[in-house]
Amino acid sequence: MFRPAIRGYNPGLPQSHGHSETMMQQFLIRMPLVFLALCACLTQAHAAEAVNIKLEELAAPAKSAPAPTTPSAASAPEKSAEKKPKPPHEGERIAFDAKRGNCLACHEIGAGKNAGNIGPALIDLQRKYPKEEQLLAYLRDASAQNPRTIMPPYGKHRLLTEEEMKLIAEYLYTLTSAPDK
Amino acid sequence: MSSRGLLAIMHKPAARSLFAVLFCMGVGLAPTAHADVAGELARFQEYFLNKHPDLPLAKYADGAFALQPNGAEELAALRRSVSLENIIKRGRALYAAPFANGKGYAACFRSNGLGIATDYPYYDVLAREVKTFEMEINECRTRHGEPPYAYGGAEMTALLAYLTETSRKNIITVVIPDNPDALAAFEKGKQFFFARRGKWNVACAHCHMEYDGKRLGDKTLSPALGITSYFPAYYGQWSEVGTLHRRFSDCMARIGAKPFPAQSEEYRNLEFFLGFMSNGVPLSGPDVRP
Repeated sequence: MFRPAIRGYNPGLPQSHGHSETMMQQFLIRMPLVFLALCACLTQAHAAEAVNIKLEELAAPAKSAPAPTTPSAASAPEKSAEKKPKPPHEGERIAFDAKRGNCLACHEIGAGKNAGNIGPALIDLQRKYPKEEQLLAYLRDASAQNPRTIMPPYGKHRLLTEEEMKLIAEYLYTLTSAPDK
Repeated sequence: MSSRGLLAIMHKPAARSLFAVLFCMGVGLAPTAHADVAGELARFQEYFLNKHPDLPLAKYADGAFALQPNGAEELAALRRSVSLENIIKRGRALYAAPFANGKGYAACFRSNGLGIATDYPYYDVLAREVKTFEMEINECRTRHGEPPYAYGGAEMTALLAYLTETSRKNIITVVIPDNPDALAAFEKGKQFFFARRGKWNVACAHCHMEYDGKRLGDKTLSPALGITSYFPAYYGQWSEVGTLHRRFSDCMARIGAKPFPAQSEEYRNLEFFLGFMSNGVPLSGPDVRP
């Protein structure tokens, strides 16, 4: 439940000691759960943010030089200098945004900068998740399949909307080790 | 056991942590720790020592640097580039300035308050709560008619930095008295450490136990073992020296949880748990982190 069993370590919670919990202790133990529920309720602002970003996108691409704020926006022009500037996939923008998917914190993804290595590199996901619905289910609540996972439950905790998760999944399926360019 | 025999087995990680247990039970200032708690300490340290077999217990004072390929060089370079001289100097001046009643911190602490940072945190059986060094600094001030410092404020952090500096290289020896209240506080700290929390649904133990040494973005995750040994610490993101509880709040914000106030019961219990689990690691604070 609210105790993750760390691989290779059993913290011995909650009934490793003989004494039973007082009501006060139970209250204190449950407080984080209440917090968690409250947090989940209070974080519904993403839809508004998404709209703003799409508007910016409509206005920006013609002159991308003035205000590239995210690393992904900054790196796009240099890569496609000779070719036509190709705007990043909307799913990439959401995945790389630290305030939305924040996927780079744990995963190496495409050309994403400063990627962490807690989780596996996100490439060739169609091998592990042949159907999009399987990948989406994992994004919505990875802990349903792997109770110990550190992977956040993006759907269950409303970190992302269903639409945002679909865009991310769509983007991730474009990342393959097969040379197709 | 002869001392030579002891030295020989000290090369084994498991034996090292066993030594830590014996150390805190034998050298402890208060009654011996509850047997279960001693066993937990051994298991907790063994987890890390088995995972990083080349890393001696003392090196955990370097935090995440200890787990990075060129960590020692990087830490040395950072220590050269970020000077802690000013804050230590300021703390020394605050320590030396007498209170309005002519007394000073020497009146409140053993050894005049110098070289005793490893006494903290401890469980105060009479007050029935975990006491930290910061708390007792403020208790000393109010007892002598001085206004308390703000926790995490510039004066408190400077004073703490100085007092910790006088305790550098001393070995952490947090003791859990055989008392139900003390054990309950320890259990609460443990619960806190292993509980998932926040929007991101992550436990302290995820990053600082299961994934220590891995990178979260471009930052290497520090091991929970020894995590109390290098505070107060300068962090790049603060551009100044801050306390352990401030760092707790950074983590809370990062996982989308509401931070608790510095010196709250929750954070003190967590510090008690982490401090006890870090027994045997030498203090290196105040130190620098990227």
